[in-house]
Amino acid sequence: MSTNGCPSPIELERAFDAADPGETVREHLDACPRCASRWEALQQLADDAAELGAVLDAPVRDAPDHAQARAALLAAAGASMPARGPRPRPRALPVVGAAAALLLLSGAALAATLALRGGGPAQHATVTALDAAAFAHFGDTHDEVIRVTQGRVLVDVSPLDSDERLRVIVGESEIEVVGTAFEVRADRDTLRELRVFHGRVELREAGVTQTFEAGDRLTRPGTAAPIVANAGAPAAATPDARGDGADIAVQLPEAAPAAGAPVTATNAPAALTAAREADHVAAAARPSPGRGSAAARATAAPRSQAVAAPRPVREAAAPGGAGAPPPEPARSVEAATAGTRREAEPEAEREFRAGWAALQSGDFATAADWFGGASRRGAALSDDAAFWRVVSLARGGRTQAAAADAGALLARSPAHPRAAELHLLLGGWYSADGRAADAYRELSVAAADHGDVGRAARAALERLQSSAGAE
Amino acid sequence: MSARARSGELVSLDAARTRADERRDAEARASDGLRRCARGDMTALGELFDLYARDLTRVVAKLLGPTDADVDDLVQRAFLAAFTAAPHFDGSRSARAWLIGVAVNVVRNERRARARRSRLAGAFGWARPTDEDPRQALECRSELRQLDACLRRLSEPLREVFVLSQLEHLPATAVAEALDVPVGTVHRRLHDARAKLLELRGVDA
Repeated sequence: MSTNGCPSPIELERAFDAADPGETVREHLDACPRCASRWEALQQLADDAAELGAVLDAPVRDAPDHAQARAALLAAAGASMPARGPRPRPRALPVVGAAAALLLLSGAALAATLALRGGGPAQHATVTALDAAAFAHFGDTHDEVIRVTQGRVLVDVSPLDSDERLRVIVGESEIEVVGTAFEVRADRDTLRELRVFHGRVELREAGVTQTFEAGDRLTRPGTAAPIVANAGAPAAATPDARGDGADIAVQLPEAAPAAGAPVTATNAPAALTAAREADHVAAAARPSPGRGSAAARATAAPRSQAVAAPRPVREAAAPGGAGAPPPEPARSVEAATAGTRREAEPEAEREFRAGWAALQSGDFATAADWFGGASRRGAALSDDAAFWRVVSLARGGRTQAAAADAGALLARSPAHPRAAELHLLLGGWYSADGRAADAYRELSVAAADHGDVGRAARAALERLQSSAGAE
Repeated sequence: MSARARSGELVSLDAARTRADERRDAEARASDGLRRCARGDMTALGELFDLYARDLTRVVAKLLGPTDADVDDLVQRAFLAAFTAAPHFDGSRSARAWLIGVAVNVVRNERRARARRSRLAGAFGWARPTDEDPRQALECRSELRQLDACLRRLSEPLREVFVLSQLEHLPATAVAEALDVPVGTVHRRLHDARAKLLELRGVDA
């Protein structure tokens, strides 16, 4: 208590925060209007704070959102996992050829891949991200799981023992590795294609297990295929099929970075992904070598129950035995075009990466030069490189050159994923130059964006209009 | 006291005990999860997310603003940061408080990054308004809107203590653990925050 008999503010607050302020304080509050008033103010503040806390509470997440956020978290954690420990055993050499063939088929440049080694000390698979892939790699040899949500990864598997298992999971589909090499393509976390090159795999969906052997191919239409009804327990993996090493290419098409995406280091690899995606589409456009008989076997469900199950289509057997990948079909016009462009890809990728490194190190002039070079190659990442050249020029203080490049890029590629950002930048520069009409035009376009860019543009427009009104 | 009232008390006492048991169980699982995270076990990270995603989302939303588009992103960043920093968790603090502390740090870094970006945007001749938080939910209550505005005028240390203590209802010891400061510092900051807020609200201190 102070000399006038009142508790100090801190003492009063301690009493306020206590579960029971005590008889002495209660009596004092009855006798002292000043302290009673402060007590009441504290109570009002606490009540308002509690109510504010309730209002500000984020909406309760429903289960799908939580599951989605959880999967994204694990994928991000997996992608950022550092290298760990040596692989337990060397992979089987014969399968290396299959993996190399897969890479060639997909047109990926191995030298430009991002190698992210995942897994703990006792795992069979070494996972290499071929682009800005998002995946999680967990478990041990007894139940090792690779969960891929985005991008393409190469999974290199050492031989499994009979009591060990390895699964690759994409969305609701689960692929059990049974000593094999196969390719998986997914679209938005949904399995679209499965091609088996060597050995066999078991595909499980909603309790239905299908076995695919060398040469089998499962294809699905572009829209999400429904999962078949539950029709019994999954079949056990076949122990005698284990023991071979395996290489698996998991190929998931990925879109270019979304407009308005934050400027992060992952954007650069994502831009490279877009380049490879073009190759993937070109490869998919090649004529099919023909259709054979369906060879997959549903090991758990009767056919009648698997009404929505995809109908597997087996490709013609590859020359050279079941262990070899399918033959390269005759080159179509699209493939030929893609081939020409592929020749420019490695150089463009190299320049893009050099530009990115220069940008990150703050050497904006060099970055602009590298990105300019990558852009001029005419490769699939040309527009991305052009965008980052604009950014580099702007950060280097060369706004006039940046504005000219931004205008040219928008004229050439009006649907550029970052068009809204470019319009916003142009609006800002024009505004600073006193070119109100031009600024208004650019900001109006950017204002149509639904994210941060749109909000920034709308606010800038308001300021532009209010300053025009003031004049 | 009537039998019914006594019965109600017993029910609420049972419920409180159940909640306390659940909290203890969650705390034990979280501590174990952090230790497994330290060994690189990502299933443990998923379990931690299941346990505390909502808690961390609430904290981040209150510190940053519930309508902020980056809340989910920051929550994910907080869990990733916790996964990376898990080897530093020694078990002497509550796992939940430790995770909340990680989230507070993530928000703190984000605020600073935004301030830097805002200054850069200023160089272009327009302010970047993405830091603005419309908080439309507060439109209906002028007192809450006023308190929210006053909160944003507090310094970062005072705001963090006030939010965790008065909006999130964490006890002082938990706030101290989360922010890694002594309990006395929490009391002092809470007092300073209240004094400042009352002053801003025009209450004679």
